Amino acid sequence: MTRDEILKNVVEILADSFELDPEEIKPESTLYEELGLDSIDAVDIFVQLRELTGRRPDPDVAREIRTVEELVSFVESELAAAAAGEPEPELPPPGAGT
Amino acid sequence: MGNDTLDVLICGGGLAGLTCALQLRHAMPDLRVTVVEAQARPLPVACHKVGESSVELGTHYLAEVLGLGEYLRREHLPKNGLRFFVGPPDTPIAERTEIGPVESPTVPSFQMDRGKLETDLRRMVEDAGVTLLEGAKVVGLTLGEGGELHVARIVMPDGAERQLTARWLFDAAGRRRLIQRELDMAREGKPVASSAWFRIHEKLEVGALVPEHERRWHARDVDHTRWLSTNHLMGPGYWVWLIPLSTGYTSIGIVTDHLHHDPSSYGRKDKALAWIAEHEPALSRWLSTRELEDFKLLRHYSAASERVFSGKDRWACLGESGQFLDPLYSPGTDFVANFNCVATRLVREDRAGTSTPELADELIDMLTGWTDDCLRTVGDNGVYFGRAEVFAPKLWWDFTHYWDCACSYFFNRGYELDLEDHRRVRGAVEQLFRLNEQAQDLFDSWAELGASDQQRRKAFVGLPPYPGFLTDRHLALAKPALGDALRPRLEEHIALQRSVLQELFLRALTELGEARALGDSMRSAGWRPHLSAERIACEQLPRDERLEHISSYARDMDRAFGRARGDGTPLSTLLTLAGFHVDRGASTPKRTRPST
Ligand SMILES: Cc1cc2nc3c(=O)[nH]c(=O)nc-3n(C[C@H](O)[C@H](O)[C@H](O)COP(=O)(O)OP(=O)(O)OC[C@H]3O[C@@H](n4cnc5c(N)ncnc54)[C@H](O)[C@@H]3O)c2cc1C
Repeated sequence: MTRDEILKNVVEILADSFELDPEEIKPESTLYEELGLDSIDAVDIFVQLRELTGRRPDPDVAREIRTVEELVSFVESELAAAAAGEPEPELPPPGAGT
Repeated sequence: MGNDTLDVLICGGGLAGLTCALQLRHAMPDLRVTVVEAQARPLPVACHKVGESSVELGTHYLAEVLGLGEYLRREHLPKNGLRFFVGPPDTPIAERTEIGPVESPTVPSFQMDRGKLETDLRRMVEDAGVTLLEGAKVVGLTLGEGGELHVARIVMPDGAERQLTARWLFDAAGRRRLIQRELDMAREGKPVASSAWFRIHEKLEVGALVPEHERRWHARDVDHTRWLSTNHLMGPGYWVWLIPLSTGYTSIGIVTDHLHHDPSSYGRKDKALAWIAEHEPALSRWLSTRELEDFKLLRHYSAASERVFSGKDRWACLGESGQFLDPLYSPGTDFVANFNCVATRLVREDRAGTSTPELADELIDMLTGWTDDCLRTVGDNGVYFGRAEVFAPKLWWDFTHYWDCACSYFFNRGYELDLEDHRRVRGAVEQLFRLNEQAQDLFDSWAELGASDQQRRKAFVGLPPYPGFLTDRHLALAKPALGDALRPRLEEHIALQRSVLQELFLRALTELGEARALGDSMRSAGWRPHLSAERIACEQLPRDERLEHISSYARDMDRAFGRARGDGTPLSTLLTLAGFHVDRGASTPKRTRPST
């Protein structure tokens, strides 16, 4: 997938899931301040991005992402990692400790 | 053994009989328990019986009440929840709506090889000091009335006949239904549906049924655990189960309702394969190069009875010998669990001289209540198959109701409460039953009034959404509320479920628009909403402001199903048309930003 295709997919996911106008979503838009998303939305974005990457994201990396552009770069590097057969980050099972 | 009177005679050593025997001996190590089982070992691997998939309540029984948790984790497969692929006729699997857990559930359930399980249980039962007569058949019963002992005639493996006398008699002979036949109490059951099943000696990844180019569909399964779910391929009037077994087999079964399908159309191996080729071609292609190891058809599988338990006369019908409803949510083991626990308690009280008719009636009434409640949930459910737009919200409700009601009671040992406490708990449980009836009425109307709309199909409905309200309901099962704490816990659940039902109603109203008909049907179900003006008005606000005014479960429904969409009529207008009053006491949220 090219960077442009990734951007198109990301915009589609954001617009469909969060009632946003696709025209409003620019690469430099900030997810939380400008697009008005919150932490639950962030979780849902990463669940949806799995459909592009086939991988479970590292939460520490995911937490640092602030803009649409950074999201695109993240997908790009996940795809590269998947293609290179890099192992996925070791993660505790969700819900552990509750 | 001579002619000594037994404390308990169990006729039939399948899942219900063997687990009951084990539980009785754990509770009373010197109790004289005999199990008579027609089929001698060795039992076949995999190709033995259906009932391979457990859900939370039955799992809790096996793992915690009987202490088999370690055994199940070691010898069987962890189950990744229930997963459904729902679509209209002739839709490839990848184009149906997938409904299933986002993350593997923390509260466990299992996929169990029944041949292996029953072989192992027989050994455990013998180790626990139960007398197991294998290859012996119960050929006649004389039920003792008014305190008399029960007598069973048995044909031993060598053909010799003998009699066994017992104080308690439990029928666990499955569909042979010994007591029901003896007392002529068997009744036609609901739903009217049939099933056929077989096994393949190979692991089936449901992904093998979907072409590789469906990249997103495959990528969604990041942990490669989809195959560990009970996968349901669902279309109008039918579903097909795919259940993996630890012994390397896959169990496959067809379930149909009689309105849409005639069981004769799949009643033999070759016909079943032709039926699958017509309805599930991808599965058919996979099967075409493989051998069916066994095959069985069961016509009209549901079975009911007038009465399944007598505390006074000390007999009970456990497991399938009493009743069977429907396998959609795999509740068979739950029934085994509920009945065995009451049976064990009543034997124990009888032995200690503390049993009273009131206690027995109380516990048995509860069992009857569960059965009716479960029947309301799964009876005649064929109308939902293939219709994701109603089936997904119904699943949402059915999960919360199951976890908050039946599971909460069972996980917290409600069946061990004393009479007065139990009556109070039952009062709360019955309110939950009542809410379930109203919710099921809502879904019936939703299915009846709505037209399925493929335009707005969602590819994946994560149920439960993680993290979220429904996941929290599930995890709450791990937090004990024993003894006095159970009733307040259930009271919390009543309040929550009232609000959840209200949100589901608002969703149905928005999507259907058939306000008057929906209003009428809910009113005749005795439903009265408590809708605040604030909740209704916030539908008009921009998303971020609306989110401040709606509950976490309303938001989670949006996350799972997408925002409810209708023809644009404001919710307040729809409510007025439906004839429901909105409580103006609460303040209307202010618009702080102009909407865009
Ligand atoms: C299509 C279908 C799918 C199902 N799927 C599930 C599921 O996914 N999960 C689930 O939990 N449940 C499921 N069930 C229900 C499940 O099969 C039953 O709950 C369970 O098998 C009942 O166990 P049982 O011990 O009552 O009966 P059985 O396991 O049938 O045991 C009865 C035993 O009695 C013996 N017997 C019979 N007659 C005599 C006699 N005269 N003398 C001595 N012994 C005798 C038999 O040999 C047998 O071993 C399903 C049921 C159906 C029909």
